[in-house]
Amino acid sequence: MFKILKKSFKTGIVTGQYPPAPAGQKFSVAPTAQKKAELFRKSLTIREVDTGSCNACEMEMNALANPVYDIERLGIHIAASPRHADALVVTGPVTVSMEGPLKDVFKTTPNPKLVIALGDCAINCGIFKGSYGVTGPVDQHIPVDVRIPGCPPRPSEIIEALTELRKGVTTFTRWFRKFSGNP
Amino acid sequence: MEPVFNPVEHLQCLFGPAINRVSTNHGIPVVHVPTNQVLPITRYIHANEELRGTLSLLWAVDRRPREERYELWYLFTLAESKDWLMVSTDLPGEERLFESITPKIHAANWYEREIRDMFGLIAQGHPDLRRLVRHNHWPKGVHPLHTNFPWNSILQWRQPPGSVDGHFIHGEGVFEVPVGPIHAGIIEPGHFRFTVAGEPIMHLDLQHFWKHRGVEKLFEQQTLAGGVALAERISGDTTLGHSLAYCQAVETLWEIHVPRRARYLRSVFLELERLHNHIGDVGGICNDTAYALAHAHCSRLKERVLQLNDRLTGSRFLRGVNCVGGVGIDLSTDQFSELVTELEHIENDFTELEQIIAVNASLIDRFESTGILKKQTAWDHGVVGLVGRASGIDRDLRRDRPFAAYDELPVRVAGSSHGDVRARVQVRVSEIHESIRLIREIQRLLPDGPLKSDRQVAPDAGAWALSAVEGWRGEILYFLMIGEHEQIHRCKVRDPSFVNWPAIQMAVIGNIIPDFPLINKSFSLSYAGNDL
Repeated sequence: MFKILKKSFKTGIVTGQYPPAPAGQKFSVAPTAQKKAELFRKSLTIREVDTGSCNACEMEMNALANPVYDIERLGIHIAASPRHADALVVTGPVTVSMEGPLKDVFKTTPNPKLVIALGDCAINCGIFKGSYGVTGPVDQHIPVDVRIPGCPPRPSEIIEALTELRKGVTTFTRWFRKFSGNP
Repeated sequence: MEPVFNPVEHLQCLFGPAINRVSTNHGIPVVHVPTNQVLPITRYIHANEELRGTLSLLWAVDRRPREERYELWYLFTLAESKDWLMVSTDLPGEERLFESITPKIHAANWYEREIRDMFGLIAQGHPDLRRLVRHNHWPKGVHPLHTNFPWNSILQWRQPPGSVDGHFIHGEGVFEVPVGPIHAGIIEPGHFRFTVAGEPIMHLDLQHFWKHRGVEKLFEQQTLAGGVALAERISGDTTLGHSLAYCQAVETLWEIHVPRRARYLRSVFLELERLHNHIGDVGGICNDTAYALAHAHCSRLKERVLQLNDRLTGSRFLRGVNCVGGVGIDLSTDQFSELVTELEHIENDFTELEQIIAVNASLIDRFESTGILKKQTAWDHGVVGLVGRASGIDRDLRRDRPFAAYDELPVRVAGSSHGDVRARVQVRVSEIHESIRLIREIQRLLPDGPLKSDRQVAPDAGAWALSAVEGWRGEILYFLMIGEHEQIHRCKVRDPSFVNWPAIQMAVIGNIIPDFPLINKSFSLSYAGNDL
């Protein structure tokens, strides 16, 4: 018991102890996606779907939940079922066998929903482009709102992209601006 | 002086006229036999007391368009000497049938099913010829590794996907629990079908290969020098293990002598990869018993190793470190001392954590006698790597077939004989300390010199090489054969997951379903590396 407490005190708070995402790589998120994300305000529940990645993207998604990145502090929660999700994060090129399950997951996720393609493979099939085993990038099968490039993108980059996504104007600020006359 | 036992001469004495010829390729003896002699000879190698060969790899090669034949290759690792012994046979012309060795050598099971799917060669007498790689909705007659199959064909579905044919047990009170392909956590896709009566699992049927991306076919579109990037993307967590095994195969073909400094650096990076995966897995296993504290600490430590990788090489997963002929990234003396100091902090931190984990009774209670993989079962399945070592199979390529700098760095191989989850955790913990010790040792020994060597020879089409690397999961094997114009003709990749997945079906029997995630995590196998 005392050992555990001692260890916790000794370790302290590690959240935020990571190098910032490399500068010069700004994530541009389409305004339409920001508008969609506006609905979820400060809370976003994500469901991750792997459709054929090399598992490096999964490891970085897992890293987001560790004490260093701790995305729960940003209001982002990872759900265990697509039925609980606001956004789907899809990694990897869509393989012949995963095309069906991906479409099922998309159907199961309640509307309104966002689809985030994570990593180069999900965006353009990367190194696996053209193979008989791959049916195409994610946006060939389901509509994609946000693209986060990288092989794999660092957790800091994923956080930056998600922050950018949720920067959209909230209804409250729009209302506030309208009445304060301060655009 | 006692005469040295020579397995090839031994086989020649016994099977004399049945052996066509014997050749040697880069020090590996190959016994060429007619198709009808494969079963008796492989069975002898497997069962003979002096040889006790484990089937390490079984693969086919389509020699078209140069020659009208298929080749089947069987690679055995002998128990005592840990030497390799290969058996090869030809299927000339239109011959599509060969005799299955699965009834006698269980480890051949998935390999023969894979050959049937990828080449259309049928193993006669195989007890379970269901489709393995090609799911049921794949069209009939598609065998992607035929030389005349276009790599970029578009497949037409035969029927809606999702249908599964498994082995089912019927009876009163027997239930089936299907899980996957999409799981609850951030995990890769795979379908598990449990048959239970009450709580304990009676049978587990695995259906994998959801992520089959056609990696082996993609290799055939690459030149020898161009395949490294693809090898790095077979399984993200084993980026360095795979790229190293691939580079070694090319280096054997080109007869490159990798400079000493590069070999030492390769060992450093391989140990770093082992570290971040092992630390993450210890945390993951604790998490599966709902012990969140250990998980939080371990994932924090894992993150430290990943950030260290990023600072040293510019990639958290060590991408772009290896290149054919050496390494692309050097470590300065300052960087090396930063590495060693950071690892010292991590080791102290981890040791404190170990003391907390080791005294947690509820944790140990979950670990002990859960998911036991018996030594005999492990041997029959040809299980490799840390799962094998936890079940009493004393094999580690770093010691048995030294590569990189391990010929000058003796490795203390960890092991256990219990074969349960606790044993696998203990092996991981010992390997974490051993990896840090090895890196410290390398700091003392690291020689100066060039980082890369150039090729010596231009081998002919048809030349081949085999290479093996002890990745953090276990033995990674690459078979590489050259075609015309330095193009790859065939690249057989075997991630340790491919042999360890079938063994998990044996380890779960009698356990309850809530323990399955724990057992699965303690094996910690790759889906991407298995599915290719």
